[in-house]
This record gives sequence, structure tokens and C-alpha cells, in this order.
Amino acid sequence: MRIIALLGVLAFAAPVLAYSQGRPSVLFRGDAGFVWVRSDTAPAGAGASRLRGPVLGGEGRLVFNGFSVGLGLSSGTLQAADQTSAKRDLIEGRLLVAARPIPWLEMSVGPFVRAYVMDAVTERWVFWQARARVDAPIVTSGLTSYVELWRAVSSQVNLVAGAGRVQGGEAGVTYRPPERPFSLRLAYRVDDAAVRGGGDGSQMLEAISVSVVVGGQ
Amino acid sequence: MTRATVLLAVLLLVCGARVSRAQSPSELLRQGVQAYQALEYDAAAALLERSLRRDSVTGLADSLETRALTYLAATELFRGQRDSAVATFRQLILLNPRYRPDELVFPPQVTNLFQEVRRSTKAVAVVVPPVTTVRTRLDPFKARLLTSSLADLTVTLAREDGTPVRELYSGPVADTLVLSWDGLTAAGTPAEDGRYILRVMPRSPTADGPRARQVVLDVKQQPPDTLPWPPTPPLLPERTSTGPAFQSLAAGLVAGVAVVALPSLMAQGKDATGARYAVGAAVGVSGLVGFFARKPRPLDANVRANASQRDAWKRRVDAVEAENAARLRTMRLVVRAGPETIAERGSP
Repeated sequence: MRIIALLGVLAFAAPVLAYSQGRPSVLFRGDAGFVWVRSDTAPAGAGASRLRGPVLGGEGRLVFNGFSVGLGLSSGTLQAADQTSAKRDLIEGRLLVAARPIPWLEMSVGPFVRAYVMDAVTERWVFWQARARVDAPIVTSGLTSYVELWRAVSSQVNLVAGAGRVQGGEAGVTYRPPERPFSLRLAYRVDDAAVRGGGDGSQMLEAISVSVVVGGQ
Repeated sequence: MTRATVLLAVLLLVCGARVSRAQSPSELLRQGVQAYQALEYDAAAALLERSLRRDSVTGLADSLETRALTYLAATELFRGQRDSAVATFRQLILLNPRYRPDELVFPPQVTNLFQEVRRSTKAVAVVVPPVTTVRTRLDPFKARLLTSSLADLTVTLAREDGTPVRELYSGPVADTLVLSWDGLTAAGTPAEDGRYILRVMPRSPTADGPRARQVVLDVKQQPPDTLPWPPTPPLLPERTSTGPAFQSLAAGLVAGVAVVALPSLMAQGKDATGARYAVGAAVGVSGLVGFFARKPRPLDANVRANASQRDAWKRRVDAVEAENAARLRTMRLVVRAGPETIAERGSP
């Protein structure tokens, strides 16, 4: 079912690519950040786990006529905050199709996959996100703030309890130095995923990131 | 019976009109001149005297009256009535002091007698336009004084009640003098609304001197029209608007607050780290940077353009102000003149 939906998204994007009269542009973003994870999804009695660690990632986008198709990936190793030896690898992947109906608003949809890889098991979340991003220029075309909120229209996790409500947001600022082909971004994001039927079980991920964006406008 | 009565009335009307037209002053004058030229002086004298009768409803115009008097005086002279001729010429000179008989029409004995009478008859006349629009100090009221011979005259303007307003002239007049009145009183103020008397009289009244003449002047002030102030020119903004600066500040602060508030909104009840404060502060500071980067500042090009516009506008205002001041100093008076009359001695 999800594969069919993904094909639908791509089918929606393909005509846009095919019929776009403008010249497509490619945009790459490299991210370096730090992630905090607070998870209550372990079996009852296990207590909450707190993990943190650096992540690196990137995203590529093909932009044309107000539409874009993007693919992002990030990865890092998280350590337990209590200095125990517990470790998890965090891997996130994302595919999106976005449209910008007005200059300051971007709407996007697409699947998002997050996996916590442990020694014995991998906890994998899959969301279908609907995102809305508002850009507000601080100094015209040089310094721009943005706020982006998203919510999962469907979610899936390979936990017994199953995935419940999943939502999040991101806010930050982008600075494009004058006459430079790149821009810099500082962002904070928070994702919250609740476990269905798991009582108070949930997982919250926070991240701050510094990014370099090359290409685009 | 009735038809005959109507016919009779129509005939009487037609005949009456013909008789009336035959005895009109101008026709009598024409017949009198023909009789004079035919040397029928008695008939000419009778016809000319009848043309000059004052009780006629349709009296002669001034030009025809002078012509009739001239022919009558010549007729009387040739009839041997020299005294009558002298009296007629005197009447003619009093009527029009500047009149001279045509020497191509009348023989020397007529013109010589006329000159003799003119030298002995002191007469003065005042000729004024019926309506004059006077702009004080600019467009004066003008009157012509006509004298039959050299006369020492004083021309004054007074209110109807005799209050002196201004002396316009005092001195000799040989033949003609054009008088100007600038519409001001002796105090230099525009004459107020009312009735005034323009009087011409000899400086030293004598028995054989000219009789004083006067003309009644109705004066009415008309306020001057002033020019409207020139409209203020459309000016360019001289400073950038404060709007963009506050938009920048708002964009930064809202995003900074959003960073801090995101966990509360999207992950309620969870303990978020303090990392968001650092990012929120950075975003908020970017808003402050934007505020100061876009704060209002002078637009020099607009300031220069506006200065030029303001100078041009100020010059226009000064010109209008000066013009209006001049117009307000220059009152417009409408002067309506009555007929010239002989001033009674002792009248105000």
C-alpha cells in the first residue's frame, strides 16, 4: 500500500518534471548536528532511555517551477546519556515532493523512515508526512527565518504496541552571504512519536543542526 | 357706420404720423438749413428756432443742436440781428466750449463773430464716460475738461454731503485737460461706496467767468479676486519606512519564539533539552540584526528631489502672496457718472 502511494507521489511529480518550462536547478544541503532522544517505548518497567550524539546528513533536491523532489539521508551514533555502554545508530531517510504555491509557503508530502539500530534489534519507524513550511524574510533574500510543522498521515513501527500519533516541527534561520553560491542554516527540530496502546509510551527526538546549502537560487 | 368710423380713425393715424414726422426737430433742421442756403433767412430762422424748442419730446441730439445753433446764429447775422447772433453763439459756446464752425461752410463774417463771442464767453464743460472700472493706483478714472478759452480752474471731488475728498486739479486750462483720479482719497485709501460730486469751478469766481459744472459719480467698491494658493507638490518619502524594520524584527522574534515553543506545541509534557534556547536566541538575534539593518534611514536622492520641489513650490507661494497683496492693495471701483449739470452757487 505504501509502495503504491509512493508511486503515486512520483507519478504526480513526473509530469511536473516533464512539462516544466523553466530550467530545473539542483540544490544540495549538508547537515551537521546533534541529536537528543528520549524514549519511553521500552517494555514496561524498563524506564526511559536518554540518548544523544552527533549526526551527519544531507539532502538533494531538484527544483523547477515552484515544485521540487528531494531525497535526504542522515546518520549518527547515539550514546546513552548516563554514560553506560548502550549505543544506537540512528539512520533517517526521507523522500519528498514539495510545491510552493506562494513564495513564502511550501507544502510537501513524502515518506520518512527512521531506524534505531541496536546490537540485536532494529527499531524502525515509517511515517507518511504532510509538511507545511512558512518562510519569513528578515533581511530581503539574505536572512530568512522559517517555521515548519509536520504531522504523519500514517505511521508504522515494528514495536508490539504499534505507532500512534507522530508529529513534529522545525524552526531556524537561513543566511545567504552576498554574492556567494551557498547559504548557511541553523535549525532546531523536535519530533514526537507516541506508541499506540502503550500508555505514556513515546519517543521524542530533538536536534540542532548547522547546514550548508549549495545551489538553488 | 362702424366700418366708416374705423376707416376714419386709420386715416387720422396715418396722417398724424406723417405730420409728426414732417415736423420732427431733425426735419425742421434740414428744412431750416435748406432755407438758409436758399438765402431765405426769415424762413430759415423760423424753422431753426422751431427745431431747437426744448419742449419737443424728440429733441435734437447734441451734435445736431450745435449745428442748428450755428446756422441760426449765421441766419440772424445775415438778417441783421447781430445781438441775436451773439446770443446764439454764446448759447452754443456754453453748450460745447470746444465747438468751432466749419470755415468751409460759413463765411468769415460768421466765423469772426463766433471767435469774438468765444473770446468774451468763458465756458467750461466736463466730459466723463458713463461707466468706468477703476483699479486704484493702476487704472484711473479719466475726465476731460473743455474750455472755450483760457480759464483758471479748480477740480474737486467731494462726498454728496459736501465732505471734501480730494482736489484733483488747480490751475489754468487753455483748451482741453484730461484729468485722472486714481480712486484714492486724500488720505490714500480707496474711495468708499457712495455718491460723489466731481466739480469744476473757476478759482476766482467772476461775473463773466465760466459757471461751475459738476457731475455726480456713483462709486461702488468691488473686492478684488485673489489667487488660490498653489497645491503642495507630491513629495517623495525622505526616509525609508519603519515597516520593513519591524517586519524583520517580528520575523526573527517569531521564529525564535517558535524554536523555544516547539516542544511545548509538538511534544506536550515532555522534557526538552536546553539546546533550543541557544538556537532560539540565535534566531531572535538575527531578527534584531535585520531590524537594525533595515531601520529607517534618509533617502538622499529623495531629499534632494524634494528640496527642489519645495523650493519651486515656495517660489510659487511667494509669487501668489505678492500678487494677492498687490490685488488687495488695488481695490476695484466701478464709477457710474450722471449727466453734467451746472453747479448752483453755494451748493456743496
